[in-house]
Amino acid sequence: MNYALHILTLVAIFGVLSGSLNLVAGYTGFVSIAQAAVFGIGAYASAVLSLRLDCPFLVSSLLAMAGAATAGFALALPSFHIRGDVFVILTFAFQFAVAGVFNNWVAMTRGSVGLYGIPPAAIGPWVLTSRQDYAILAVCVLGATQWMIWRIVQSPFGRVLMSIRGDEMLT
Amino acid sequence: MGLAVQHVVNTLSTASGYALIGMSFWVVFRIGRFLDVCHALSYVTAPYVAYTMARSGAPVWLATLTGVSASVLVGLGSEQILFRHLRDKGASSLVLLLASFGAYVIGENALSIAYGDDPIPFPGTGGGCTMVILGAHFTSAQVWRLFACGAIAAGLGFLFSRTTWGTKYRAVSDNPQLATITGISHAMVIGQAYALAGAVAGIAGILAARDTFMDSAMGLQALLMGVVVVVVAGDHGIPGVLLSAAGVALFQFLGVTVTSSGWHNTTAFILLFLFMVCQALLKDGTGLFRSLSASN
Repeated sequence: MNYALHILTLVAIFGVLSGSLNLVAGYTGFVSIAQAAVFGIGAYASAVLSLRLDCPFLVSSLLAMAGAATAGFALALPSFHIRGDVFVILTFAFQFAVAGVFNNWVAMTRGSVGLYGIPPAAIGPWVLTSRQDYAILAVCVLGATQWMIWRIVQSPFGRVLMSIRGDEMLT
Repeated sequence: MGLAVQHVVNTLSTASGYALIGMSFWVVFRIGRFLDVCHALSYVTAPYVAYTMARSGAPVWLATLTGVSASVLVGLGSEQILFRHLRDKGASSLVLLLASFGAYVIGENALSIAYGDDPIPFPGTGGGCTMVILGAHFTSAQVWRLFACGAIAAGLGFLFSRTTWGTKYRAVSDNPQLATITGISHAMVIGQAYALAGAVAGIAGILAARDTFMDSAMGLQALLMGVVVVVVAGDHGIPGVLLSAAGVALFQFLGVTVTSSGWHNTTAFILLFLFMVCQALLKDGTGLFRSLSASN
């Protein structure tokens, strides 16, 4: 049962990641290899804030989301000037540069050993200790992010994204 | 003095390795117009085939020749079996990229299943010291790599600028439709370019395996550096690739000097990222990349 819950948690987490990639590559038409790097920035930022600054789960998560969003925005800036294969190569360079920093900045990330001993997540009085708790949280986050993406796509901003995929110049 | 010369020798050796894979990748990238990840298979196939031949008792020259021939077949096969058909169906460069990535994953895993994941030393070689100049030690692998780099650069330079085939290659690279109208078989020229690039990549792979060892993932590692070199070189041809390889190797050396050896490859990717961002923001892309952007 624990294994099934673990798999369910992973499915939900990668479902969130797939949704974000779909927004960038699917709806907007910018194929990005660097989505994994942005994913990693969020993960490391949250873990480091919890471990080293004892930040509560919600605070570290919000700050990590802000950090990942900033990285994504910085990566998007050159896309005003380049598209297609060149943008793919740019995101590929970003991906490997960030992965290299994660692996080599041992003082901050503990390198290839990774970060361990991260305090359990807590939302108000609910302290997540079991696999079932994490599975529930992950599935809820998956549902919330998919709903947000659906709302974005239905909004005028979403139509702008799709028109960029169709014809950026016309947009 | 000896240490400084040794650093220069090591940097030059690294640069020559980057230049070899950079030149082979440049040949397919300029004409194929997409990031061909499958090119890494040509690099990794040659040392494994040569290893198999050498283990079965073949002399080194025959094993090397067979390995390079196998790389030629891999390069040619990927173009004829996969990319050509996709291109004929109007596939975009992103579709070609994904197809090449899939082909590479299949090939790398096939090697991994056949030979295992552990690093394998190339038979009959080693990093033995062959000569000492000004206190710097040159290994036979370094000497071979420098020699091969110079010879291949000269050969490719001659081929592209002084021969009819070079003219056809440039015509197909610059404008395939116009080249076809003028009677050039662009499918044949692209196939020949892939075979040529496969041969150069195979030589680079065998020399790298002789210098250190080989494993099934070495192809992608090398190709990534080749991509960095070609992107930094822009549209300056073989001389640009050579200069770019030297610049990347020097940048890596300086980066490692102020950090640690673990940052060796990371410094190259940071250089590539900063270079592309600056190029995009300042010049809106130049040379090869401006034309690539326009074609997309």
